[in-house]
Amino acid sequence: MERIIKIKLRTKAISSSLFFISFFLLQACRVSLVPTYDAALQTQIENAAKMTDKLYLEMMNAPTAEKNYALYSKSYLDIEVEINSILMKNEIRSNAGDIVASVKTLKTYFEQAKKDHADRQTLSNAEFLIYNEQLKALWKPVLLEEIALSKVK
Amino acid sequence: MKFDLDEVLANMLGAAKDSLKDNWEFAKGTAVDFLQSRKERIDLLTSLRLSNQLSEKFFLARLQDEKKIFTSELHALAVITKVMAQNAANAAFTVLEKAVAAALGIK
Repeated sequence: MERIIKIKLRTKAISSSLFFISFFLLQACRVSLVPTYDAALQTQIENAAKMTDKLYLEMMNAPTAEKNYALYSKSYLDIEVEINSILMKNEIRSNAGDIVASVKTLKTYFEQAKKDHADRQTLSNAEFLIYNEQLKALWKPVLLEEIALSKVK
Repeated sequence: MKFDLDEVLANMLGAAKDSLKDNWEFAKGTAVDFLQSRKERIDLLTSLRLSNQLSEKFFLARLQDEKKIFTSELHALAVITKVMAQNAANAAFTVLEKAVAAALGIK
C-alpha cells in the first residue's frame, strides 16, 4: 500500500515538473517570421523617397538646356548612397529576405535610370515623369514593408 | 491544477482569428492601392506613347519594368502576410501560456 502511494506521488511530481517545464518552454517559444521594426530606418526610407521625387521634379521643371546629367550627378549619387545604406541595414537583419529583394530591385532600377540619363546626357519631361512614377512605385513596397513591421504585436 | 484542453484550443483559435481580423484591412488596402497605382501608371505610359512623347524602345522597356514593380509589391504583401501570421500565432501562444500559468497557479 505504501509503495503504491509512493508511486502515485512520484507520478504526480513528474507530471507537475513536465507541466512546469512546458510552461517555460512555451514562454521561450515565440514565432518570429519578420525582422524587428526600425523607426529610424522608416524615416530614412521616407527621406530617400522624398529626395528621389525632388530630383525628378527639379529635372522636369528645369529649362531644356539645364536638364544635363552633369548638373544632377551629385543628387543621383546622394540617393544611391541612401539606397545602398538601406540595403546594407536590411541585409544584416534576420528574416528580411523579402525586404532585401525589394530594395535590390529599387537599386537596380535607379542605377538603370541614372545610366540612361548619363548615356544620353538629357531626357525629355515625359521620360523623367515615367522614371519618377516607377521609382515611386518601387519605393512604396520598401516603405510599406517597414510600416508592416510596426504592426507586429 | 485544472486544464481544459478543448477550451484552451478554442480560445487559441479565437485569439488567432481576432488578430488576423485586425491586420486584414491593412493587407487589403495595400493590395488595392498597388492595383490602382499600376492602372494609373500604365494609362500614363500608354497615353505618352500614343502622343509620341515616348519612343517605342523606351515604352517597351518601362512596360517590362512593370513586372519588376509587381514582383516588389508581392514581396511587400508577403511581409504583411508574415506579420499577420506571426501576430496570430503569438496571440494563440499567449492564450496557451496564460491557461498553463493559471493551471499552475503562476501569475
